[in-house]
Amino acid sequence: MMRLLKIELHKVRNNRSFKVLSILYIIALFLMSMGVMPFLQWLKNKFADFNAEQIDPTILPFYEFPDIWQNLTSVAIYFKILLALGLIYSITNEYTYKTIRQNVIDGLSKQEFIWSKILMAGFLSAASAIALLVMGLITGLIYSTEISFALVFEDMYFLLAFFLQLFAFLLFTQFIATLIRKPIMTMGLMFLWVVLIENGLFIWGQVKGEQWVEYLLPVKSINSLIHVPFPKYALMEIQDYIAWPELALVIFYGGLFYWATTRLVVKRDL
Amino acid sequence: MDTVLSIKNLSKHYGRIKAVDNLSLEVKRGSVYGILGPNGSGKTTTLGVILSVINQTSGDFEWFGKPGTQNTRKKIGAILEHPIFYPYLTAVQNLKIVCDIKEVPYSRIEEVLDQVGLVLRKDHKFRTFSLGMKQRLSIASALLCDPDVMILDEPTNGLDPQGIAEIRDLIINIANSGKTIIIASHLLDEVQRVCTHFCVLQQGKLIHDGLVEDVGKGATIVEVKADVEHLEEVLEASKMTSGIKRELDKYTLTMVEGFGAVDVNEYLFKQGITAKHLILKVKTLEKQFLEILAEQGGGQQ
Ligand SMILES: Nc1ncnc2c1ncn2[C@@H]1O[C@H](COP(=O)(O)OP(=O)(O)OP(=O)(O)O)[C@@H](O)[C@H]1O
Ligand SMILES: [Mg+2]
Repeated sequence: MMRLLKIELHKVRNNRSFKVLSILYIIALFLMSMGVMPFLQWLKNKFADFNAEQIDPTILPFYEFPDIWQNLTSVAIYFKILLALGLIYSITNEYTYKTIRQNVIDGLSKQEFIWSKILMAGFLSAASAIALLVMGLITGLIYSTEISFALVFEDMYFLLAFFLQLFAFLLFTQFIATLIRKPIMTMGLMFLWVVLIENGLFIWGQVKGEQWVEYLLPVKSINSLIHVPFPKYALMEIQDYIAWPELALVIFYGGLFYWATTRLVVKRDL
Repeated sequence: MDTVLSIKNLSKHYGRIKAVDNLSLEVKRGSVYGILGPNGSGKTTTLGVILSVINQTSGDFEWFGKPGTQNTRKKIGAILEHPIFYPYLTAVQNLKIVCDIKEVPYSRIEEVLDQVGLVLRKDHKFRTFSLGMKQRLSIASALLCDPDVMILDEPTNGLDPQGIAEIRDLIINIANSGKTIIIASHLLDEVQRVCTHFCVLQQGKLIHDGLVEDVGKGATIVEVKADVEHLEEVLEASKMTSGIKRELDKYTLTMVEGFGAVDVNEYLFKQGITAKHLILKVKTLEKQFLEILAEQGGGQQ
C-alpha cells in the first residue's frame, strides 16, 4: 500500500497543475474555516457605518460547538471540485502520455494502478478531514461561547461523514475520467451530468412528486449526506445528524464507481 | 534448455483485422530471439499481449511455465514501440517511479544511466530529450531490474550510427551474461548479428522460425571476375557449378555440393586464368527474409 502511495506521490509531486490546485484547495479550506468570523466582523463594521448597530452578524453561531462540525463540513465540501480537478488531470495524463501502459509493462497490475489513484484520493480526503478538525478546534476554541469536552466532541462524526462524502465523489470522478480519458471532455461531462442532468431529474422528481428519483442521482445522494444547516438560523427545521440510509447510499455509490472503474480498465486494451 | 516464454494458439482480432492469428512459438532460456515481419504483421501486438497490456481474443501464453502476473513482469525489462515516460519529470524522477514499481533500490539508477550514457542529462526533464536520448532512457529503464528477460521493440529506432553500435554491443553483452532477449526489429542486419533464433510473422501468422546460424546454409555461392573472354565456358567446363549467372563482367556461381571458393581458384589458376575478384557469398538474413515472404505470395498485401 505504501508502495502504491509512494509511486503516486512521485508522479504528482512535480506536476504543476496538481500543485496549483492543491495550494488553491488549502487556501480555500483555510479561508473558509478561519475567515467567517473576520468577515462577520467586517460586516458589523459596515453596518455600524450606516448607523445600523442593532444588526450584529457576529452573533451568528457559526463556530459554536457542536454545530461547528456540521457548519464547516457542509461548506468545505464545495471545494471538492478542486481536488476532483487534480484527480482528473492525474488520471487523464496517464492515458494521454500512455504511461499507464508502461506502468503495467513495468509490473503494476491494472488493479494496483486503480488502487494507487484511489489511495491518493483517500489520502487527500483524510488530509482534508484532519485539516478541518484542526482548524475547527482552533476557531471553535476561540469563538465558541460554551466549551466543554462533551460539546466539542459531540458532533465530530460529521468529519467522518465529510471524509466519506469527499472520497465517494472522488471515486465518481475517477470513473468519469477513466471512461473519457481526456481532461477537458471529462470536466465537460461532469459539469453536464451534475448541473444539467442531475438537477433536471431532481426538479422533475420534485415536480412530479416522485421523491425516489433523487436516490438514483449519485452526486446528489453524495452531496446530501450532510444537510446544509444554515436555514436553521432562520428557524427552519434541519436534519442535524447523519441518517443511516443516506450513509448506506453514499457507500453504495462509492462501491459502484470503484467496481465500474475496475471493469473498464481490466476489459480495455491499454 | 528450459522454456522462458511459450505462446499457444494466440489470436488477437480487431474487428475483421486479425492482428495475431493462431500464433504459437517458444523462446528458450539464453536465446536472443528476433521477431521479424513487415509493417502491421502483428509484432507489437504479440509483445503487447505477452506483457498483459493487450487482452488476447483467444489462446494462452506462459512465462517460465506459469501464467504471467505482475510479479513476472517485474523481472522483465520491456519497451514497446515508443519510449514512454512522464514528460514533466526528469530522467531520474522517472526511473524512481520504475524502481518503485519493480521494487528495485534507487541505487541502480546511476548504474543504468551510466550504461546508456545519459548521466549528464539525468536531471533534465524527459520532455527536453531528443528521440535518441528518449530511446536510451527507455533501455536504461528496461535494465533497471537486472532483468531475466528483455523485450525490445525496435530498440535502435532513432539512434545515430554510434548509438546503434552501442546498443548492439549492449545487447550482445546482456545476451552473453546468459539472459534471454526478445527483439522485434526491421534492421535485419542487426538481427543477424545479435540473434540466435528468429521467426517471421506475416499478417499475424507465423510463417517461419529457425536458427540464425542456419540462414547461411544451403548451396554455396561464389562470385568471380576475371579479364578473359571465354570465362563462362571455362567455368561451365569445370563441372563444379550447378548454375551460372552473369551480371556485366561478374559471374555468380551456385556450387555443386563439396566444392567451394578454393576449388574455383585452383581450377582457374590451372587454366591459366587469374581472378581479379573472388568472393564466397554468405546468404544474408535479409535475403532469406525476402525469400520467405515471397514464398508466401509476396510481401505486403
Ligand atoms: N488498437 C488497434 N485497433 C485496431 N487495429 C489495430 C490496433 N492495434 C493494431 N492494430 C492492427 O493490428 C495489426 C498489427 O499491428 P502491429 O502494431 O502489431 O504491427 P507491427 O508488426 O508491430 O508493425 P510495425 O512493424 O509497423 O511496428 C495492424 O494491421 C494494425 O493495423
Ligand atoms: Mg510495431
